[in-house]
Amino acid sequence: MGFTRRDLLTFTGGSAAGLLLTPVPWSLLRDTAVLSENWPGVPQPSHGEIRTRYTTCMLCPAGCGVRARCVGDRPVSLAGVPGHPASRGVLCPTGLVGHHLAFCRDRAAEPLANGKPVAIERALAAVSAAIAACGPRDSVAILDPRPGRAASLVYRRFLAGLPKAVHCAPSDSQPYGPFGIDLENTRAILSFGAPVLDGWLSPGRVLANRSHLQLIQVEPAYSRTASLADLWVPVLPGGQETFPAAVARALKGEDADASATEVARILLRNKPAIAIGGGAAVAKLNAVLASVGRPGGFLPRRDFTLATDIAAVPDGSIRVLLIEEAAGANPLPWDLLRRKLVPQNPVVVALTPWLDGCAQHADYVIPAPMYLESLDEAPTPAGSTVASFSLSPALLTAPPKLTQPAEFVLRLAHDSATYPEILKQRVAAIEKDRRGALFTYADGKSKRVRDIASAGDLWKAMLGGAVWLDDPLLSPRGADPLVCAGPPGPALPTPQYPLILIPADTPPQHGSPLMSKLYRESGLRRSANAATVHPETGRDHALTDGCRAVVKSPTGAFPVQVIFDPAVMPGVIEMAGQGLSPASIRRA
Amino acid sequence: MIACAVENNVPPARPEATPRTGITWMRVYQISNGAPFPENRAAFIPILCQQCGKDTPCAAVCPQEAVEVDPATGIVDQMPQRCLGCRYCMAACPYHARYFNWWDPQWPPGMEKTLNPDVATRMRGVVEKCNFCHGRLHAARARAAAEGRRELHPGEYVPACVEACPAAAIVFGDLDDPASEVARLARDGQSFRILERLGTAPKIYYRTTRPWVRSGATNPCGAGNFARGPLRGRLSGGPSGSGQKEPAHA
Repeated sequence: MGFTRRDLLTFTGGSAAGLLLTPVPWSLLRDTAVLSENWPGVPQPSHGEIRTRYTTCMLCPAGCGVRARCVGDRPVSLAGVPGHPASRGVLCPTGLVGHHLAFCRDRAAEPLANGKPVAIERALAAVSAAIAACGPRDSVAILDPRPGRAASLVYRRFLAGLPKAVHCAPSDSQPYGPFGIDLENTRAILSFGAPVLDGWLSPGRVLANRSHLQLIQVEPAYSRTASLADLWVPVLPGGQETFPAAVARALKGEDADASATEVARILLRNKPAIAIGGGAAVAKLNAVLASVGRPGGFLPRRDFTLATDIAAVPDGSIRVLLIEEAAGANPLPWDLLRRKLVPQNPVVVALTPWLDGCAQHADYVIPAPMYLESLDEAPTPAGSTVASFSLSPALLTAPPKLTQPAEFVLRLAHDSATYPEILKQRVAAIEKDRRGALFTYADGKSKRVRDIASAGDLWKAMLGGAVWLDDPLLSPRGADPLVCAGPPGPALPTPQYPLILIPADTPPQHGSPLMSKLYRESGLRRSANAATVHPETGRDHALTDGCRAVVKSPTGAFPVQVIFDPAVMPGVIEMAGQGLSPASIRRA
Repeated sequence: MIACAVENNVPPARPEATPRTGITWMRVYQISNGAPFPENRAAFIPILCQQCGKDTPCAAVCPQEAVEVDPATGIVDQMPQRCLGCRYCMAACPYHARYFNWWDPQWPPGMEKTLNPDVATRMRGVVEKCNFCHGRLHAARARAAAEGRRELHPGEYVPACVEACPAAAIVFGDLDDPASEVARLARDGQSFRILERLGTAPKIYYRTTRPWVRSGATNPCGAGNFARGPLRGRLSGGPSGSGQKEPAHA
């Protein structure tokens, strides 16, 4: 009996079928999975000594303390500093991933002149020549995102040496002027559209005081703050102008509508109370509430540096404009800045870490270090009732060809001082005054400045992570009147624009790639092209849920995806990234 | 969501990622009472692995034994090394709290240097989910062992979300310890569990004083439980919650 070809095939087929019934193929499959777990396509974390380093967040004016977990010298995660007087151990989502900003693709890497690489010396010479060529009516301006820093002092010194110059700031950079808010003693906040629970002032400080606060949110949209407030008062867009006056009348016992009367009743029951959100009507309401210069209200502090509101600078007056752009700030409105420039041959210099924003319109782009790449300072946080100062030591190695904005201005002024020296002078001045206390991040303890031996010791302590807090003013009464920056005027519908466009949550322009978790991968926050309308409003304009449409406003037209939401006020369009304005919508 | 991604080396979204294919171990939803303006009200609810303690659905269906319920801690662990990517567990999970790696993880150039050295990255083709930051648990155990202790002190180990929550809305601890704060909060009348009627004994408790929020959990398909805007239709499991206190077992 021989072994035939049929036998061979039968044996092979039978073996193959039998093998499938054994664990062998499954083991092979599993082993393949294990092997491919570590293939080169999958990045692996690097290892090294674990250290803790401290710094201060510079991404917004809150100035939160930061505890960085580092592998070797590189930060791998950031967290808040427990007990920090401003942040109370809290970091916002943007701050939690601040160490990723350095790896964003749209950052400026080298000096540019009209979009082409240029040596920093040539850029300096060109800007100096432009300043020297200014006529008697032309002014030189520096737009300072956070007046009150040591860098601001550098700017002011430089501008003081020019025949016509202006140190200006964005309109919202000094929302309450020389006043801070005594949140610790406030019992009620009447907010006219301010995002109180969504990034207002120092989020940690606000949330730490939330439990003893009555929060009344007055705005047309049901924002995240409105959803977490004790009372939401929906008003028509622009009603934030008239409602404060109605509440003031009700507080005085005069006639007012039911909602204003209810709000006044809550405010009277929870004293001291404050009104926030901007505008002359809100400032007057605070006068009725007697909240200025009293505990639980608006308290003045020492260090206020007044800068000119950029909106108040005469149109067509600036020949040379230097714009400092902060790493975490959204771009400034270019339309406003352009109006301030002379019509012929203005020179715009962007001192910025980013290639978008102002850099797109600038003649010269001077790349600035990103957050955590260089030693910087955190001035008094917005809303603080005492002056403060902290250093933000670098945790990352900066790439070459970057220049601190203050260093650039120092070189323009032919000043041989360096930016760290300017910061040292500021620290020395604090030590000389011997006021206030130093809170150190590592041990969470405070020490009086007068107990610190020398300015050098204070500098060393601050480099290790610390914040200086001034003593409060002893007699806050008799302060200047409260001036609140005004909101945009009411937008009224017209036959051409029958609806009102109101701003919804705006995604941050710059942030870690991980912010995609909030804005793209979860849908928790809406995309920039989503327009949300009440179903009735949508049907009145022949729209359907999910359809494509075009929103038109006096500033332009935007393609959008329509979302029906019965929670939206009828007659309005909620859209991210847009300002309050009349608008129309039609199906695409 | 952000702190979780940093801690657990969850990569940022690929250009082609959507809310359905993105990976967010903890996902916060906004739900509303369904009333029209101006009676509308909303609440935020974080959905993460509910660490089911009984007949754990994902563990029951896994052909590879890649899901393991730790009897000591009650944490449901996912082992990507064993996972074959069949996604049965995703189908079985009533909370949609498991995520599939559709692509290899990718970070912008240089950013891979900021990865957490305590957590391995995962390859494409495997499922992952919240494990209460097991890297932190192991580190805490190692510290305790170095000090000659076998038990962890309360608060010695907390997940990244608990540490990062600015509102202190998440409470974490040992449900088996009747004296712990989580156990006390879980027992009081304001706490409930999502889809409790399925009998899987989830270990995440939610707290609310608003009846419409609670009714959403006990009657997930009923009226008065609506995700708002782009989230509509995404919560098949019956979300709830507004106080957002989440006692959990550790």
